[in-house]
Amino acid sequence: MRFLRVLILLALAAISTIASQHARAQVTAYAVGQGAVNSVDVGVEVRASVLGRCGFATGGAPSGSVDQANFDQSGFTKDFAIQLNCTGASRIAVSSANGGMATTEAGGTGYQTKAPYNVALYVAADNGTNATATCAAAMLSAGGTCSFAGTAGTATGLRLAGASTKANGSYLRVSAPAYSGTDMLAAGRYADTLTVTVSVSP
Amino acid sequence: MTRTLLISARIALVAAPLAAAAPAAANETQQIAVYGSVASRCWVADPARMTIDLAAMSFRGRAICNQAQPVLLTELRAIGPDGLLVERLPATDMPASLVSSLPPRTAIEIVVSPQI
Repeated sequence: MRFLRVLILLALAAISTIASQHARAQVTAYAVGQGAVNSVDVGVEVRASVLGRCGFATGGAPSGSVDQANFDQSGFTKDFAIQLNCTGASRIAVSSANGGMATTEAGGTGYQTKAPYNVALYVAADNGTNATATCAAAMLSAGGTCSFAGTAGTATGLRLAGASTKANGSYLRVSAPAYSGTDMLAAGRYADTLTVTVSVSP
Repeated sequence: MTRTLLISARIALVAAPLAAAAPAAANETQQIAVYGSVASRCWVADPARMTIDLAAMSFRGRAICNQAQPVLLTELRAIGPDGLLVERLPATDMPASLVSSLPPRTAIEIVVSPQI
């Protein structure tokens, strides 16, 4: 019995010692003049990341139009300058509203009411690398299968591996030779609209 | 006695380097308009000199128009000594009695024009 009492007393002493050690691990700061410790430094680790951004630079979006009279005889070509603002890899895509230049004039046997033309993309990175491809407008309409057809996304569009934030000579080119199809183009006004999009490409 | 707890904090910034300049404003979608026109016109398919068979009054020739309603105009023209066409005479206005007075070298000119 006496041994048990001693054992309990020793256990209580050990618990008290452990508790006092934990108490000494805490630091208490006091107002000036009221204690030895007046401030406690606390380290706070802050981590942050910057998501890649991608778009057209201000004033660098391809815009405007081309309007060629008698294009069936002369053909046409025009470049639209592009400047990207992409901090990493990017993709650029193009879609055609009509799949070619279309007229609302009536057609008929032996006549064609949609004129073909080509769209070429050339995009250059800040490190000197570039990506280029050409598609027929017919392959850029809905469901088109050309390399940069559709809306730019993580897996859709022409991919540029490097960052591009400067005026590197990127451009979109529309062109067509003189028309040589079997059916003749009906007289009239022809039109199409291209939609150009860019996206990050992880 | 009031005790005030004063804690000063050191913040250790552990982050990827941030861009020094603010990102430029960017547009992600842009449109380009492509226009063109094809004028109304007609032309002769496989043009060639040919001799008209007066007895048969037939000849082969084909005019193509990129418009649905062309206009045909037929005229008689005398051929000058240098082989060029001169004196345009509307064929419909030629009385039959004057046909014999036509120069020996006379051409029928058929003009096909798009109807505007």
